[in-house]
Amino acid sequence: MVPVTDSPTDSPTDPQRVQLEAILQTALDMGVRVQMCGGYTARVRATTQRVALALGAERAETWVSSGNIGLAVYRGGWSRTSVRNTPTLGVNFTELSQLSQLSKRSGQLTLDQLREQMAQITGTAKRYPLSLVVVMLGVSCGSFAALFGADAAGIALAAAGGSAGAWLRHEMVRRQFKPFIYCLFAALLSASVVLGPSALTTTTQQAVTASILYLVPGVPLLNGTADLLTSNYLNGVVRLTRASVILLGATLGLALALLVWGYA
Amino acid sequence: MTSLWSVLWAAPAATGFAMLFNVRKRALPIVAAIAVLARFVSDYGKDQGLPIVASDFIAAFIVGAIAYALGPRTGEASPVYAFAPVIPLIPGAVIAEALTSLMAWITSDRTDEAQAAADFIAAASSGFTAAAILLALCLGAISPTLLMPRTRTPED
Repeated sequence: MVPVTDSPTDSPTDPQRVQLEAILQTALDMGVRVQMCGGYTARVRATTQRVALALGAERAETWVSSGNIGLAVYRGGWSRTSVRNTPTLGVNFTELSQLSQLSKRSGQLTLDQLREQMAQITGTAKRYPLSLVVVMLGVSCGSFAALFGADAAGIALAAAGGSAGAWLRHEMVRRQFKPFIYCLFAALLSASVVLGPSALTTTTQQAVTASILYLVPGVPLLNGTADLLTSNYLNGVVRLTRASVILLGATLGLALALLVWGYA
Repeated sequence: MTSLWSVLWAAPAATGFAMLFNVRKRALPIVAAIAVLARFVSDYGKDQGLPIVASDFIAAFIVGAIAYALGPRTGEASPVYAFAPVIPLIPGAVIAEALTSLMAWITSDRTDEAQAAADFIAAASSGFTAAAILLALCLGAISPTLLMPRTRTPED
């Protein structure tokens, strides 16, 4: 057994070690935020490595999965490694854009300046009010109905159904239901809002289809495809599987509504 | 014939999703304009006799190319302009047909075998078409990034 020595380089307070640890944690923070905001795997990897190298690491190696990010940094014979979970936050492209800009400037900033600016971004990147988003998703669904050729009543019903379902989805997400469940119930509510008073419109089919389109998992689908095409196969399959589960929940919700309202 | 009035509906359709994705206010008009252009290209392609999968791929590719070029110049990540404008290209009519036929097949009592078979084929055909269109949209929107020169990184 090799005796443990208390040489200066093994000390947790050794300046080299402390600095490398700070570089590691800062770069990881950046990667985690980018992933949580909706960045695809190649973007997360590029950002994390760029920041680590800009802050002084000689080499940086990343490991990115759908729920974790790992980073190893090397300098002067030292290496430090850490892994972090990336909880689901919801897509936030404002923050993603700001973090991308910051990472490109990271070579001109000190570690403290970078951390300060990261904190500013994550603290100030505001979201639109929930009520506005819910109304706008309804407007989106109404617009889809118009694109599909629905009449005025069909457009209005799709908008109402879309808003109602979007609100229910938000409430169920807040209560931590799983995607399959909240998509099923949100689609059931949206379709029911259209099918209940369907006598008002002659374009029920277009309206009911449009009313659930706010559930389309656009970001997982596009990020999953991006991952597959950039050779991040495992993450791509995970994201596309998540998108499939969401689509399955929405489809079943719609099918259930059609059965309940006697359209099947 | 492609109607300018009908493609304008793509603007509010994409704007709602952009707000869900928390796109900055200053980028919303650009997202809306790209969505209208994409819908116009898709409808025009179909009017010219292109298959729906091909016309949607071309429209999504144009969206991806614009996003890739515009993103860094406006201080936005390219997904800001690439993701929401593609969503109005989703084939609602094909999805509706697939679901209706599927429901008809599931709930039929099989007394009319020929009708049940027709419903199944219609559901499968529409379902595969919808899946192919979704794949074309994703590939089209992402492809320009893969063709980027080495001076650009996935961050751009």
